Amino acid sequence: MGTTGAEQPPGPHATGDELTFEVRDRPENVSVARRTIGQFLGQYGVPATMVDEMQLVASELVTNAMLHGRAGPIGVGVQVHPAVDVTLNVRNAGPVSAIPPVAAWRPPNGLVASGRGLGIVRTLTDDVEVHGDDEHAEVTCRRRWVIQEDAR
Amino acid sequence: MTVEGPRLDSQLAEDGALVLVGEIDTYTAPELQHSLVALPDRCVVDLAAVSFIDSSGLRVIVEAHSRRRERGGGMTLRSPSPSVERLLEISGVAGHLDVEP
Repeated sequence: MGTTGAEQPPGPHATGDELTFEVRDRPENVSVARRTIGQFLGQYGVPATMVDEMQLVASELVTNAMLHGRAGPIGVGVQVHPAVDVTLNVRNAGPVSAIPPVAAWRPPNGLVASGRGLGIVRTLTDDVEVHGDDEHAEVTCRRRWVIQEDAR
Repeated sequence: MTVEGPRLDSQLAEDGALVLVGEIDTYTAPELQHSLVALPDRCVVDLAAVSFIDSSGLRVIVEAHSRRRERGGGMTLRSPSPSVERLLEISGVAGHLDVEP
């Protein structure tokens, strides 16, 4: 198996903690992914609004992987670097060409009925990268840690 | 492992508002669509007990809203929680839908 930049590097950011899991490509499992990520991020004291936003990002990416990927499990990876950032990686079988180029992920505006999901991902994250080939596709996005006072 | 999907319950309040309870995503959006179609051209949807909405849910809400507007009606979203209100803002629809506290 060829090694490409597509695999998650164990690399220089190994200081934080990481969670990886798979869900089967059925719509009821999008909430399983959200909940699993929410519980994990909560353990690291990630601010509540950031947890909400990463759950929304995960919901959009996992839904997209199910709708546009080939049949098969969806892989999810989350890395937390406390007080630095959170990285989310979502992988599915299928050609990477099914994912529109990131430059086309426009921040959503107005009442356009569809195509909002990837725009939401772009709005809520600081970096987005798409990797893959004819057999697999993956989206990796990073969100800087936002220090904020919780109102509650 | 038994997979339990998100739940979305809905019921009509005494004032005619549709009260939703749960999460709105790709799994529950068809149920929501079904519930919204049954509402009159002028209606209120209570979101106080909705904990999550993503773009799959928003699509259904935006479509129901637009359809009513075309017919001279309207749909008001009532009492979204702070986090759902933020989701509406993030997704660029807050200023285009009728939202009341």
